[in-house]
Amino acid sequence: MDKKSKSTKRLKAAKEINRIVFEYYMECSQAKSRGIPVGWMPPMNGAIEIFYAMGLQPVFPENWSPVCAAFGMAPGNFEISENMGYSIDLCGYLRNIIGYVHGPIATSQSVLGNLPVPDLLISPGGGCVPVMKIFHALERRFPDAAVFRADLPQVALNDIQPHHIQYAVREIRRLISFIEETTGRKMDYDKLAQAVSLSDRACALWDEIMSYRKYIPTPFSAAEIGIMFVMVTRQGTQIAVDFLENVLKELQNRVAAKQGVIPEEKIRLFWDNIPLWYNLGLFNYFEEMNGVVVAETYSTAWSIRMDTNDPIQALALKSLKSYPLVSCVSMETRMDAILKACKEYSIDGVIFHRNKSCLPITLGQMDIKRRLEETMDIPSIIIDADHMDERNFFPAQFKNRADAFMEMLLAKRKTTP
Amino acid sequence: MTFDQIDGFRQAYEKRSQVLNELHAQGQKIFGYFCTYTPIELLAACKVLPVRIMGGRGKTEQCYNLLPEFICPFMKRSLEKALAGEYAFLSGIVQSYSCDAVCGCQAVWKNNFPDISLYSISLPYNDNPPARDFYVEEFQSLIKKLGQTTDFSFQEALRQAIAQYRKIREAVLMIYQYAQSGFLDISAEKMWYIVQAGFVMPPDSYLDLLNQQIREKRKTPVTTEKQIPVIVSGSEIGHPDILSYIEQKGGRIIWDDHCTGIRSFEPEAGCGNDPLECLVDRYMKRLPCASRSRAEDRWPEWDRRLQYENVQGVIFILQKFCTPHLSDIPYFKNQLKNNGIPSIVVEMDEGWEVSGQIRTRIDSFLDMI
Repeated sequence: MDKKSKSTKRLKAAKEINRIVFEYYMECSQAKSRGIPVGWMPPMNGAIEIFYAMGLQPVFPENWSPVCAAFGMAPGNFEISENMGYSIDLCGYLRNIIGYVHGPIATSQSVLGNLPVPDLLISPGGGCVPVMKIFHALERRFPDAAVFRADLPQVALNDIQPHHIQYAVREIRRLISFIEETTGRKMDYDKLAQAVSLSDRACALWDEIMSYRKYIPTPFSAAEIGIMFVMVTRQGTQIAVDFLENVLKELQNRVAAKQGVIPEEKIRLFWDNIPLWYNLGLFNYFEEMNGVVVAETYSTAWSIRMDTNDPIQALALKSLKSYPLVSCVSMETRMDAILKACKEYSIDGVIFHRNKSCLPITLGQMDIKRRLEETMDIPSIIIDADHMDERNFFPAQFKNRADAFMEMLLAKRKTTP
Repeated sequence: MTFDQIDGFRQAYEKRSQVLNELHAQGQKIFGYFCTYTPIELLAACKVLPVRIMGGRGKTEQCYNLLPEFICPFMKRSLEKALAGEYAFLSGIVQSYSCDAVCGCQAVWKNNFPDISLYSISLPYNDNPPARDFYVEEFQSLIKKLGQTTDFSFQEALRQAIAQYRKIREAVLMIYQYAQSGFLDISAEKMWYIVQAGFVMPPDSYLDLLNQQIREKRKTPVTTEKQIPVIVSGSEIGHPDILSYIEQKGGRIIWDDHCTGIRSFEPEAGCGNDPLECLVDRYMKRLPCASRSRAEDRWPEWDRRLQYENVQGVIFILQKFCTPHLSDIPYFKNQLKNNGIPSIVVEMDEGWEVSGQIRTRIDSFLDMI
C-alpha cells in the first residue's frame, strides 16, 4: 500500500462531480474579472446561501486543502508554513492553507487554477480553534480585505435555547448588513428565500441518497465521498440540486438492479472522522476482503433540514447545528447517531480514524468504541493517521491492523447466524 | 482552616485533596472548572466552592484508554487524576468552550463520571452590546440550571462574591507588584504556589493568607539589577521547576502571560448597573487568552510591557499540542523580532521535567542576552 492513492469510483456521478469541481474553481478564478466580490469563509454555516443570494463568490479555504492534498500540493505548503514557525503538531488544514497563501497562491497554477484573493473575510468566532486561527492568519495575509468578525454560540444540540437562536439570528442579520455596506449590493430577500429553499432541497436529497446505502448490497461506498463537494460549495444553488437528483436516479437504478460496489459484499463498515484526502484509495482497500465502507460520520454534517418559511432563522439554526453535529460539542448526539447508523446500515465493524489533525472529532472516539462493543457487540479498530499530512500515516501499520480486523469480522460473520 | 504563612500557599496547594474531601464530607458543594473564563463569582453566589481542575506533574497511563496521545498534558493529567479518584469531591463542572481539547474532554468526563454534573456555558467572542446581552442571558441560564433565581437575595450574594474576588485579585496583584519591585522576597516558584493556592482554597481562607503575605512588605526594596528581565507566556504551567530554572540561570520573570499566572487576575472586577452586568464587563475586559482571541488583541498588553519595562527576552513555555498558543507563536515571534526582543519556545510534556535539552536551550538563550 502506498501513502497516497486515488479511490476507484463506480458511480457515473463521479465524472459529473469532476466537472462541477472544475467549474466551481474556474468560477472562483474568474470572479474578479467579472466584477464579482470574493469572500472567504469557513464551511458549514449560513453564509454560503447569503453569498449566492447576493451574487457574490464564496470561497472555502478549508475545502481547498483536500484539493491540495489530492493534487500533491500539500507537502510544499506545509514546508512554507512550518518555516514560518507553525508547529508540525497543528492541524493540517491550518498549515496547508497558511503555506498556500504565503506561497503558491501568487506563483504556481494548479489544475484548478488558484484561489482569488479575498475582498471579504468571514472570520469565525466559534467552530474549532484551528479554523478560527486560520482566519486570523488570513486577516494578516490579506490586510485589504474587509473582515466580518462572526460570533456563534458553541452549544450542544440538545442544549440550544431561545437566546442562542436569537443571538445567531442577530449575527446573520449583522452579516447581511456588513456585506451590503461593504459591497454596495442590497440583499434581495426573495432570492435568499430561494437559496434557502434550494439548500433545504439539497439536504433532503442528501438524506435520501445516504439512505440508499442501507440496501444490501450498498449501491455506493465512501470511495464516492467526493460527491459531498456540492454540499460544501454549492448549497443554495440549483447546481447542487440538479446534481443530487441525478445521483439519486442513478442509485435507484443500481438498487433496482441489485448492483453493489463489489461482486460479493460480506462486511459492511462504518468510518468515523475525516477521510485521508491524499489516500481516498484506502476506502477501496477493504474491498479486497469483501468489505465496503457504507456509512461515515462526516456526511451527517449536511443533514440539516431548514424551515424555508423563515430563511434568516433557518440559516441561524444551520450555523448553530452544523459543527456540533459532527464534533465533540455534542458528544451524546454524535454517539447516538453512530449507534443508530450502525443499526440502520447493518454495520459489522467500525473504523475510527484517530486523526492527528482533528481533535474535535477524535475526542470521544474511545467512549463511542466502548459503547458500540457493550451495547451492540460491534467491533472496531483505531487507525492512527491524519486527514492532511501523509507524514502521520503509516501504511504498514494500517495494513496490519486492517487485515487483522477484517479477518476477525469475517470469522465472526461465519459463526454468527 | 489555618495555614502557616511561611509555606501556607504551598501547603494549601499540596494538601488540597485532603482539605477539599473534608469540606465535601461536611456538605460543601464543590464544582470544578478547567479554564479561568469560568465565572467563579457566580458559583460562589450559588453557595458552590469553585475549584480549578489542574493537571500538574505526573504520569499518564489510564487516560490513554479515553484520550489520544496528541492532546495537551493539562487534559491528560486532569483525566488521569480523576480516574485515580483525586476529584471525587466534585459534584459538578462548569466550563465554556475554551478550546477544542477542553470541550472534548468535558464530554469525556461527562461519559465517565456520571456523578459529576456538567454545566456548559457559551461565551461570546465579540464585545458589543448584543454580545453582552447574550452573555448576561447565558449567565442567567446557568443560574437557573444551578437551581437559583435571580431575585434580590441572589443579587446581593453575587454582589458580595464579586466584592470578595475583587479583594483577592487586588491582593494577588499587589503581591505580584511588590515581588517585582523587590518589596517582597518572592521567587517565581513561590508566586506560582500563591496563584495555584487560590484556585483550590475557599476564598475567605485564601484572602487571609494573601493579607498575611502583604504584611511582610519590606520598607526598602531589594535590588535586582544584575538579573535578566524576561517575560514568560503560554497556557497552564503544571509545575514551577521550569520557572525556578530560569531564575537560577539569572533570569527574572517580570511578567507572565499564563493562565496559571496572573493573566486571569486583571482586571479585578468590572462595572455595570447590576451585578450580572459587572460580571460580564469583568470577563469581557480580562486579559485575553489565545484560545478565544486574535494574537493582535493580545499584543497591546505586550506592547505596553515592552514600552515601560526593560524586557530583555521572552520564553514561551507551551504545553505540547496546545493549538491556541502554538498558532499565535509565529505572530508573536515576528512582533518581538521587530521590537528587537529575542524569544524561544519550549514545549513541555506531562512530566514537566526541565530536561537536559531544555536546560541547554534556556542556558544558551540567557547567555546570548
